[in-house]
Amino acid sequence: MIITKFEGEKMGRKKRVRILIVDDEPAIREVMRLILKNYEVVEAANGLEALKKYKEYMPDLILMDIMMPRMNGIEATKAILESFPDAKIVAVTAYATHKGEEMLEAGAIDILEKPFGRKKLEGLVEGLVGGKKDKRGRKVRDESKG
Amino acid sequence: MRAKAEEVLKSIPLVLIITDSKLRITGCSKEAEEVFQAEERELKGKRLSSLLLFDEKATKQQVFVAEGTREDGRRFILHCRCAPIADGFVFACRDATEELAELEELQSYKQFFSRSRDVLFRLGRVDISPSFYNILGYTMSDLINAALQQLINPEDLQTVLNEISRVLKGDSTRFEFRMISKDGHELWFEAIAWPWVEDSVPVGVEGIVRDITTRKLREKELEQRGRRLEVLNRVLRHDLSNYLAALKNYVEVAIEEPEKEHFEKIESIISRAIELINEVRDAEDVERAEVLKPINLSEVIVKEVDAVRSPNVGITAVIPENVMVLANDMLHVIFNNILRNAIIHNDKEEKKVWVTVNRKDGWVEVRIADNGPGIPDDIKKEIFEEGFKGERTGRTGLGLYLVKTLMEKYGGSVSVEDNEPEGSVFILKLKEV
Repeated sequence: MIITKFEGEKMGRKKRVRILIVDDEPAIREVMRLILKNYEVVEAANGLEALKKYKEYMPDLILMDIMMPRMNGIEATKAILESFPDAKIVAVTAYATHKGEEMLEAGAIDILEKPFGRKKLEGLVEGLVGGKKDKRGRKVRDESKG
Repeated sequence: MRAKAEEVLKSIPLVLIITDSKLRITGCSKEAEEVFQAEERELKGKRLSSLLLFDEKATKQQVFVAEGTREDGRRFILHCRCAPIADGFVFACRDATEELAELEELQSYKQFFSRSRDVLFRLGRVDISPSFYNILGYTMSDLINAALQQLINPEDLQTVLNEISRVLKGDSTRFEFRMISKDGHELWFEAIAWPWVEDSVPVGVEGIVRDITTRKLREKELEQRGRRLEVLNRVLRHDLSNYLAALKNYVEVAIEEPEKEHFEKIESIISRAIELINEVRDAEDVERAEVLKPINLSEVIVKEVDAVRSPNVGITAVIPENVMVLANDMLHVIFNNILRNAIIHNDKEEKKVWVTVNRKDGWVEVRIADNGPGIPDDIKKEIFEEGFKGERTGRTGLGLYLVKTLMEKYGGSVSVEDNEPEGSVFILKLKEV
């Protein structure tokens, strides 16, 4: 039997912590997925796709690149927060000096500057949506924290 | 009576000279003494022709111009009338030296006005230098019948009217505007205008208008180049940051888990960083190669097609020999990018590419079709923007931007359509020479 992503939750299993990685560079998405292997990871290659994926997967955290084709990170952050004010968005940028400020104004809660190290990424995600580890070491939502 | 006559002769306010029949001076007025800078007694007996340069036959014409030189070397001009008397002639002259100098000056200004390459104008009483007609190709009657909207770019008309009304209020001004020549071209001008005042009353506007079209085109080109370099810099910084971020993380992962696939990833990211640097170098070359010249398109395409041939890629190319187009040495960048895209983005096991070249009405149309996944309608235009990346391959995003930049430089165009039954087709139009 194949259990779809939401069916597992309906069956009373603990919800895994879900992270949406938004970046037009496939190598960045791949390596982030590798580092965040204990989390459930969803990917989007631009802002427009991020909007769609957010509605579909309702992730606990979004790691949002800024400079992307079609819809950039600033526009996507504004659009997501307009419909989902509780969304947690972290700006991932090579432009920490000025574009990062615009992301904070748009509602991002933090900035992760490229190139970042593995520990920095793990620490940031842990601090924001850490959750608990289940038996398989996978990160699940810590419901006691609300 | 004789004394009285001599007194009258002396004091008459004219250059009056009396000669005998052989034109020897026998008497003169005070003014004549002043002109010749000599007293009457010194002048008496001298031949008039030794003091004045004139055609002696002129004495028969009664009115003539004579020229002389004062002792201090200054030239003077006399307008003379001559009348015969009993034993000689009487010459009544007027000193026209200053008058003539003013006339010469006026003529010199008129020549300056008509020779000026800039347009000198006066609005009030319409007075425009000939260069205006030369630059724009209009005749005076064209102008009389033309509405201002026909002559001045509608976007600039209000500016021109505002500036003229400012000048009429007493201000000087400097502004730029566009005019439309008789053959329909848009030309840029810079105007410097100031009030035309007579007896302390402003009566109109006068000024200079200079054709600055060449300068404006150059400025526009520099501005576009600046923007393109800014884009390159941004893409380079952005993509390098991405590659470094990915590399740093893969290296960290590989240290803990030294698996082959991590090292392969690292190798592939390094290759792409090198590709990025090569493309930025191409883009810099694109900026440098300015002069357009006839280029053998057939040879360029054949070379690029050969470069991408591989066992799992079937390329069908129908290219007439020696098709010459207006381009420069960077033409290969266009075909290199489109052909590589047609293959890299193609997920078929047997990748196919078709290249055709056709001449039509002074243009050459190159079509490069593939059997790949195609390009969705909503991103057909966006793919030519800087930094646009294919979602799967993540190539630099500079390639098609360079294609578009080059095609614009060549005065050509590039577009993309769906290929039948599958894939996409890039259509490039270049000027045939």
